[in-house]
Amino acid sequence: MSRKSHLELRPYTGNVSVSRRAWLQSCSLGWGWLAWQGLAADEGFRADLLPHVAPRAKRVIFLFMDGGVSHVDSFDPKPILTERSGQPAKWRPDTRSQAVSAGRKWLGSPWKFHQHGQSGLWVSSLFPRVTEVVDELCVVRSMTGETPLHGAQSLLLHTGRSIAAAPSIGSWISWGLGRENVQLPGYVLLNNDWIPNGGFQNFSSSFLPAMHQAALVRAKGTPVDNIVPADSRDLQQAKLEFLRGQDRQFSERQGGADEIESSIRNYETAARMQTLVPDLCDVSKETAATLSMYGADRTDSYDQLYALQCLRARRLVEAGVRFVEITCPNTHSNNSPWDQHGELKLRHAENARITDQPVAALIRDLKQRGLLDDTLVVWAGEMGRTPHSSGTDGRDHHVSGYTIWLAGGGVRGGMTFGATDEMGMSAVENPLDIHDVHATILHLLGLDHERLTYRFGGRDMRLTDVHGRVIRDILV
Amino acid sequence: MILRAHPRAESGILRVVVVRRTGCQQRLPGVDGAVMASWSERDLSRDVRTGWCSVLVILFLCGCSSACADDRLLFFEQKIRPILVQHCYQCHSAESPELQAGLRLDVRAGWQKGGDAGEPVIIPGEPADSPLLRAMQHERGVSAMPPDQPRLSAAVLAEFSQWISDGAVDPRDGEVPRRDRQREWESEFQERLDWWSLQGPVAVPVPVVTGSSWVRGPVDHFIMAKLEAAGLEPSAVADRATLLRRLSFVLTGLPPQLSLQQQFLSDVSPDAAERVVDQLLSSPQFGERWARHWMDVVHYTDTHGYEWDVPVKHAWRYRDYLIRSFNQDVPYQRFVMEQIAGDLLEPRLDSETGLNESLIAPLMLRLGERRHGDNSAAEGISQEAVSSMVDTLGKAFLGTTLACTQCHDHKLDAVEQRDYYSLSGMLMSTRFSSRTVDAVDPNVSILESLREIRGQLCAVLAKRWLEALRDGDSSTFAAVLQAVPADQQAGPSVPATLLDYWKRARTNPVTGEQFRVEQQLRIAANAANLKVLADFSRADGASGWQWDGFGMRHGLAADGELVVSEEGDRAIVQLLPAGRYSYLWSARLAGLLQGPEMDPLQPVTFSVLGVTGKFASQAFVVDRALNPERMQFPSRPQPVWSTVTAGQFDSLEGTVDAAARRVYFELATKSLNNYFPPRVGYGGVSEAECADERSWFGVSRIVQHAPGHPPQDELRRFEPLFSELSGESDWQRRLRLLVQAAVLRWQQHQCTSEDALLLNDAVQSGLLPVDLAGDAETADLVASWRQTASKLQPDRTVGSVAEWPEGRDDRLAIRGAYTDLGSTVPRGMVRMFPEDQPLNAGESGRLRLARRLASERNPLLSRVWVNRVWHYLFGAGLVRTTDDFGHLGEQPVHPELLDYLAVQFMRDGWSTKRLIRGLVLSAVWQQSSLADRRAIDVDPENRLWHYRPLRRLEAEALRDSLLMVSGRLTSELYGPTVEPWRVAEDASKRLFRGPLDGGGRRSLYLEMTLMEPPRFLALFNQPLPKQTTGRRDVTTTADQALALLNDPFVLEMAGHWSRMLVQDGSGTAEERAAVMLSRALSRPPSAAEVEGLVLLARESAQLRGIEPSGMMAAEAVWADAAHAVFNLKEFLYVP
Repeated sequence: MSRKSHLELRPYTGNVSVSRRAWLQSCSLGWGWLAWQGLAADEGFRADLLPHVAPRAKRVIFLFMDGGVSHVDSFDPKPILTERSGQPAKWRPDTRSQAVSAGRKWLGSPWKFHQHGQSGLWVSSLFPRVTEVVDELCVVRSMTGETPLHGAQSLLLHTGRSIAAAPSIGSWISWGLGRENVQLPGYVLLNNDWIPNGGFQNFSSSFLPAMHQAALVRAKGTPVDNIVPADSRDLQQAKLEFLRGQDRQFSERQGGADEIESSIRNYETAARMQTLVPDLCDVSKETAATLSMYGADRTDSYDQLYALQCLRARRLVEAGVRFVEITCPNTHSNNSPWDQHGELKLRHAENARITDQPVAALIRDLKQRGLLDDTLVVWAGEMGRTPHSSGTDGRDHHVSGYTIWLAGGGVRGGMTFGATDEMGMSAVENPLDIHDVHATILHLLGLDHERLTYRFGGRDMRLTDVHGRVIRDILV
Repeated sequence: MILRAHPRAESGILRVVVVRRTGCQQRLPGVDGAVMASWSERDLSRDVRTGWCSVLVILFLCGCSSACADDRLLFFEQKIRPILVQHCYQCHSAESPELQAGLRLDVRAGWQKGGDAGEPVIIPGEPADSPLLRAMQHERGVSAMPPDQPRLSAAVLAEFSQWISDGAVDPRDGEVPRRDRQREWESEFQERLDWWSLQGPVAVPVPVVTGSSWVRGPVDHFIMAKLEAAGLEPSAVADRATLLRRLSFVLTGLPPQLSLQQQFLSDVSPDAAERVVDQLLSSPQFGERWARHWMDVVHYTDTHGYEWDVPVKHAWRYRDYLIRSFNQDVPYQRFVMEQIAGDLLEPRLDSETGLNESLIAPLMLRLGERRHGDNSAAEGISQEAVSSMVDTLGKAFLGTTLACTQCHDHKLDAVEQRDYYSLSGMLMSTRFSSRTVDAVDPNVSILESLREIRGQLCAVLAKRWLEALRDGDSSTFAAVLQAVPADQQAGPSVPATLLDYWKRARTNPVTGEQFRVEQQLRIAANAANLKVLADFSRADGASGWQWDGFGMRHGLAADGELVVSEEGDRAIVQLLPAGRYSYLWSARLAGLLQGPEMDPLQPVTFSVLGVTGKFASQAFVVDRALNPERMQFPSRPQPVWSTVTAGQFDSLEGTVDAAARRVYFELATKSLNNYFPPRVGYGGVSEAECADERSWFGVSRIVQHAPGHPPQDELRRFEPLFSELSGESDWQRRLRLLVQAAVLRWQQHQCTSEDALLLNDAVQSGLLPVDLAGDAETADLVASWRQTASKLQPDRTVGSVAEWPEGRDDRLAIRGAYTDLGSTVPRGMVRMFPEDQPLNAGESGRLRLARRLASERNPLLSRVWVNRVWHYLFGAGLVRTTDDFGHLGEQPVHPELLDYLAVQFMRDGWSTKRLIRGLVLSAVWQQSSLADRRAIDVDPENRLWHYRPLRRLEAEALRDSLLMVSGRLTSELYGPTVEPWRVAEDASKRLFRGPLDGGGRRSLYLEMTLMEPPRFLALFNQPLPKQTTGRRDVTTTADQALALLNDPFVLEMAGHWSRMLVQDGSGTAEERAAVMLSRALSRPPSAAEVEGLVLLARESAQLRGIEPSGMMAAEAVWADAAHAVFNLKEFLYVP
């Protein structure tokens, strides 16, 4: 019996005709993309649509701040709120405010705000390292949502719908643009087995072809399910040899059926992926300086984990993945990482410690590699937090005005856009909703959000449904 | 009017020009007609563009200022009309290429009448309430106007506001043809009704064909006729081994048993196939397989997903119901009616389980993603739930995308927007409620025994108590009193317990005067304040209140009824005042009590005399909310008055829908609490508490009163102290006689409610002994009670539905926005299936809906189901789009066959098994999967069914096959779900890790959470259970190969199989390999195949350093062989 290494295996090149249908069926489910390594054409996307507009960005890194970072403690300074801290809170009713108990008090930020960089953007001491790259950031302070519930907002942020089954923005982009690198999935989720509110639906391709759903890379342990061979190389080889003989006969008996041929080919690919995917996720070849810049050398396991994921994100976009999303680790039994109804000081600081350095390093690294120009970085939670509180060290859900930021990829750095009122309650200047952000992200990628449609259930579905406007004021 | 370069708009410009030039000039009242004659709106708009407008207008207006008496008119002409022309007329005028939302803004009557919503868009004098201005201001909840453009300038908006404030003077006369759009829609609608799938199926004659040696039955005639017409031949019949494997998978989802293989392969009689089919159809695994198909249709899950992933209350009972229904071949018509309105049908009793099957079925309506709570977004929440239900009803039963009409009339099918709201009114006149689904009471004889024991216990206790009350200081009564210290700081108030009277007796005894004054005050206060809402001491004292559960059904207690302790060292828990108590027999029996509807805008304060314990809940349930988070778990072990206010519904007020939400008060034990277990940690419920089945509550009376004026204890039980016993100076004796009289009445079954309270007081304070240690007779009786009570079978409960006492219509949501409501739509059927008689006011209509949908007059029901069955058997439907028989679906190539099957199905009594039997015995189904090359060229998509395509195992069939072939599969049916194996757990969502092999249970018993469905199954295309999936994706991916190569579950199954083989130990390597292949592939292997597997085993032994002599006993070696067999394509694909 021959002894070949995994890498020497070649795909079948015999006289097997693979129909386009079977071919497209094969290209699915995340890492299944790799099945088509080496094939030049890419039929998995809507080439006929493109480009709608001149693209500024080619790819997106989405830093999902799950649970809702407090805007008034991070990027939206409210000196009057601090002045009135402890006083009874009264505000103009806003239908999007969470119904709250009586007796709430204003709660000033425990963090100090300063201006940073040449642009003089305000950032609190919660994010000391991000201040170093502040001139790249476009801080949007006038986000609004639909309902102050995590599940609703998280699904809205990802899919443009707060309940219905709809594709994630990563799936839309993967489908709309096709792959920059045919060897890789279009949408990778760097996750740590914490499932955000709204569930896997957040990352689902829904009615778009299954190949556009997020391919999951875990931070801890085995990065991709079933990627570590169960057998020694030789033993697996022996099994594959046995299968090859048997399967060939079966296929012949079935007249070379497409499905069987595809399935046979997948075994060759799968064998190869066992080496390729870990390589892609392996950051050990990065320099010590890079590792240290990201903070991968920090001792806390959550710190390491997030640093590792930011570094992997860079490696993935560098390799041509269109949309990489990173979730935050959930360190305590909060509903979600940033959901501090209590222990605001302790847990917000902890989450900031975990994410601050890697996020800053990611932007710096992208910039120094010339990638920031065409890589859009989006930092967003699904909501903000209330400027008022029923206690002294916690804030509740807030969607009538909150902050996100964008960087690179055709967005103007060092600017703020929109504003909330003096207490940080409601967006009063240029209020935006998530559909506007989606429209803008698609626009930067060269996609018109009104023309990126997919017919499903009798409708031409859009990421932005019937909403959304491109925020032109923040474009370069 | 057209201002933007818009291709579609060009013709509009031309038409506008022509029309305006030929007449229709506007006249301002009071203005000289001659001056006005040439002023057309088109000119204006053009001039606006060129900047001339204002100049002209100003010149003109200056010129006639003296003639214009009304400045407001000038203001309109100068400021308002140009803007309307420029920004609105394109879509909202008589000349609009397509009039949007039915709204005209080119005549006054247009905005007065409004658009499709039928309400004015400008309310003179009320700019803030004028929808048009709100739209122009881009306010939330209304569609921003003009669409897709920046907001008009603040100056313009201010001018509009001013104009509306000033009365919205508008000189533009003209009629709005009221029924225009309606008439167009009517004719359109009538045309749409001609669609093929809306015509009743007609039994056409079976076509005559020449290839009669091939055809076996009518189905084959239809197929053959089309094949002959195309000049094609069907494929050869599949070989017997293949046929058996195929039959076994489509009918049971499992490979054939070895015994069946042997039976079938050796049976050469002509009806061998029929016998096997009948055998498989009658196996319990048939129901499991077909239940799973239905679970795709109704998107079954065990949780509601979203944020907290709370459970769908005992959804697994619905899954078990499905298995039984398919196994019993319940007529499909009945099955469908049960899903929609099983709670309103005659119960269908399952004799084996004693369950009321029909009451379990409506759980179907609850499946889907649901938000937690009943918060400020109540409308949004209910809208989501309705949308999900309508979508499922439409797709599952009608093959129609009804949910489209949430926002607008269907673009192509005969469904209009009102249909959606007709249905939503019906569905939302339903309340989501957990129900006891036992059809027969399993506990009657046990309760008889318990009643007897309790009677004996009463007698024994009465004897003991009278002994404890005997005269003299040595009695228990006296001893307890003596041990109580005197109260030195006795206040002026009159006590309410025996011990408090005793404490006062020695320092500051209560006087008759004090007592009478206090009592009169209390009586007067009660008389002035209290209004009895419900009296549960009488069977008929609580009209409007509904209860459920064995606990409540058997819970009517007379005054002084004993609650026997189920544990501990006391004989009884308490003596009760008359009422209804869920735990009268056991805290394991369930209870649910629901009050009448309340007005949430008029808060009511009321007090309940009762008990609650062990996480029985007290809640205000808001209509449409599935998971009421106005729920508390008060702990009140002894009967006391507790006050609640049905208020604090602030967030439900001021919603756009001015109608108050319906609210009711509810008490529930855990198992009948719709929302139990609640989200993790809610109300301090621990996971251990969730698992404990006990909980209880009881109510005696409920009275309404003013806030701050709760019921006062009228102290009547203490009256004798100050009347017949007042002469007794010894307070110990005085109290003893008081209690003794009560015990005597109790013993003679003449106990009053005051006696019950007094005796309970005496028991709880230890004055009357109830310990087990002190009396053998008591101990024996209680032991006997406990032993008997442990046999009580608790209620089997499930999240079902119930009707509101009255139905309520819904309002149409304009463009589907619940913030923008239009007219009320009467509840009723969708228009394409008109109902003969209008609904009664008190009727939700759900039962009518069920009957109408499931009637033979519905042309879609049988067609859609017959097509689904065809799909499950053939891998594709006669209509490929199984969930859409409308214009966007595909039309069948064999409509006559579909009709034939649909009609035959109804004639056969809607029997799914007969339908399946007929199809799998047809020649077309039994064809080989090997297609003729020429036929493929002519018909590559197999529309004519010239072969029967090979199929990959579905996710469940694959996993179940792995279990079965390896010998790990259990034959256990039914029961609570099994947690799937997970990489990571998340306790906050109750996502725990189950055993890797799922305990050997079939896949449909694994817990399906919306948050994280089982990943192994998802890899093989088990659909995400959010909406109806008639057709699963079938993808072929490298991830699947990786799973079969490396997934720990697959490896564990290989290991298990190997252990079984090695333990068996018999035979040679060749014999073992042959058994393995035969078992996995359901056919005898060739010698070469056997040789190949043995070779692999030898290779494995060599690599593992195992001597050839030890190979047969080496589990690792045979695990490798088993693992390789699992990876064979022939294992995964069924020809």
